[in-house]
Amino acid sequence: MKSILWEDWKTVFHYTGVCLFFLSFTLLIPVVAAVILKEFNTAVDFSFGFLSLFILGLLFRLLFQPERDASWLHGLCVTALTWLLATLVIALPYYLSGHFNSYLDACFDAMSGLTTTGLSIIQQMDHLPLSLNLWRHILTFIGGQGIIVIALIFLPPLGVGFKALVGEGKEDRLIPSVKETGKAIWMISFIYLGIGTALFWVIGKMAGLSSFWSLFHGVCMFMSSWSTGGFAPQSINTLYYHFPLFEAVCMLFFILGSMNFGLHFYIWFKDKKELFKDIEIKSFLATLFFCLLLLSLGLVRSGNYSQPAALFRKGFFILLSGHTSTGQMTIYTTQFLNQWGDLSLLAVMLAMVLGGASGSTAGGLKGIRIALFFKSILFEIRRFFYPQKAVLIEKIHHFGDRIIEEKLVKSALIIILLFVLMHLGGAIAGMINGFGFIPSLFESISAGANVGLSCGITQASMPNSLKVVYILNMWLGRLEFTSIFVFLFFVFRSIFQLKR
Amino acid sequence: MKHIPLLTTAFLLLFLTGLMSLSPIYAMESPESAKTSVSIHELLSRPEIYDQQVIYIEGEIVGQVLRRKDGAWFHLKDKDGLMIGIWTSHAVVDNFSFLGRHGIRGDYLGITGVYYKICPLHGGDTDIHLNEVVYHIVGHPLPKSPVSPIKAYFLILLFLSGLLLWLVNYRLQKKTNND
Repeated sequence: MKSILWEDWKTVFHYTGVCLFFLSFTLLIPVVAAVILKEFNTAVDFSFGFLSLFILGLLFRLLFQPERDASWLHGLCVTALTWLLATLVIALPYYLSGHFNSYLDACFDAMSGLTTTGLSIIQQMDHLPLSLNLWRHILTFIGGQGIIVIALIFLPPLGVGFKALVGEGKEDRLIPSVKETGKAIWMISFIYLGIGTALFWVIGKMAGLSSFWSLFHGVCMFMSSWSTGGFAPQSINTLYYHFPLFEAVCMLFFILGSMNFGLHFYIWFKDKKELFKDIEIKSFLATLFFCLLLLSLGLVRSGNYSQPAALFRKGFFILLSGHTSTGQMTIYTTQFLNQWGDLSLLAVMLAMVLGGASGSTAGGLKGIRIALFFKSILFEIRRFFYPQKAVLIEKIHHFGDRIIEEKLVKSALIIILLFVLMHLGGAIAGMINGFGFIPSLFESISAGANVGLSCGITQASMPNSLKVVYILNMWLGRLEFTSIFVFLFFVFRSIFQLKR
Repeated sequence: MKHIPLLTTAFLLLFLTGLMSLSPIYAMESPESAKTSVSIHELLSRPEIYDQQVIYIEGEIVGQVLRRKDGAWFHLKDKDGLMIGIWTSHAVVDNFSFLGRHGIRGDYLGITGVYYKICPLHGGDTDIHLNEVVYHIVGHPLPKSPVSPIKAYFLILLFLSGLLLWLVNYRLQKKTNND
């Protein structure tokens, strides 16, 4: 194994600096919004955030000049470190706003936004400055596309580009050029932003909002839905609107957001039929149907939502919100435990674990891994029905036919196992802090799969240790372990070498 | 040169520690209650007692009024910070003076109404159908707090540091390009 040198650290720091530098400019959006809305204190808070990230990025760029080409090791470390440092600095304006009890709480919200989780422990949310409220949604929008994707557009071709992008869970190149892939991801998102905001604006007006508020809620709710973020401008989330059509549009956009960016690109520019062929769509529909069956049985047994409209607006909405890892809610958090019953909760938990598609804004195990898991089980069974010497080939369709190789299955199974261990670990942490098994598991899955549904544990008053566990879960879940494990190994190995 | 990253980190940490002391804690007080009201948490926790019963609740109006053809929605936020939708007539919402949001303390209401755990009229929403506004304290805009001078000094200092760094970076890049 090669030893880690100071040159390696310099490469990692340099490219992390580049990413942070470009990310810092996004913080000018809330500064401008705050000035326009005459929220000057908030403008100052966000200026602190912008300048801190700008300086940190520049310092890293200046002080650490890379003396070697970036390798996979560097790329993955850059991703992990960028997400961590970005969270720590973005939490600064949150904390200065006075809407968080501690810096840890501010970090929790920043990580939740960046990872598109949607769990929140903000105080007095219904009295937030508009610019701060808007920024929370923009942050999910940025996090959904990926913060490396922003830097990628500006990075030189020989930089850390594709390696860091893989660390962020966006390994499908839409176009051969990595830079163009980054641009394509943002182009797709901005086109949907325009369409989505307009649609939400019209429906917001129908729901009874004034033009201004309809636009504000429209932008926020589009970003929340498309990024599968789950935040909403008001504390009771989507329940605030009391309007089925508004909820339907939310569902439309969180389904679209949970689809692979590559699939959007394929449908738009290459072959529309891909929508019906892609394995992740088939996998999503199958698991959604199964979970819906469980949920309906559970809700009928618990005696709730006997009307089809209620079953759809509460049951199906929450299930879909969980499955796409969005986390928007049309019920109160406490109602999960008080009214839903264990079977319904199990269905929602299962949906949250499974998650959306790979290369999308969604979290969870991802459709492709679920498909690989079940295909490999079927493959093992099928083998017994053929002669021993027969060579069997199993294929999946994901942007063309792909042969299922053992390496692919192994990697999918490892990630599935790691997710399961993480969810269990989070549940144990919850139980250590005095919560029951079901709520602890529910909340742990929600954090780790970047969903954001809550059964009531996530509050500002919850123990700090649990907040730290959930922050780690959100970070691990969003970056899907590899880059963080590689980074931690990189750190520990450096320390070990120093000691020697 | 070796100590520069350490010194930079120490400077940033010191700077951030200074900033920490500048954060205010945002809190709102509720006016004195006229009579004992049930909390929203209580309504949600014990639906078997309160479902489809007339209850009394107090809170600040927050968010916007959502006007529909046959009525209007508004939202009350109680002292625990929980919020619930209230369904009422247009005539009632016409009397509201201030809707709570950033910089505005909304009107404070005490109301009676029927609580629905799963409302049959509104697609299963958890809501209250208003019977009567028992009392009404008009809200008011909150005084705007000026930007703290210490915050402003810190910001200027940070801005100058950023500018200096950017100039150094610009000159270095220009030099590299020329080489």
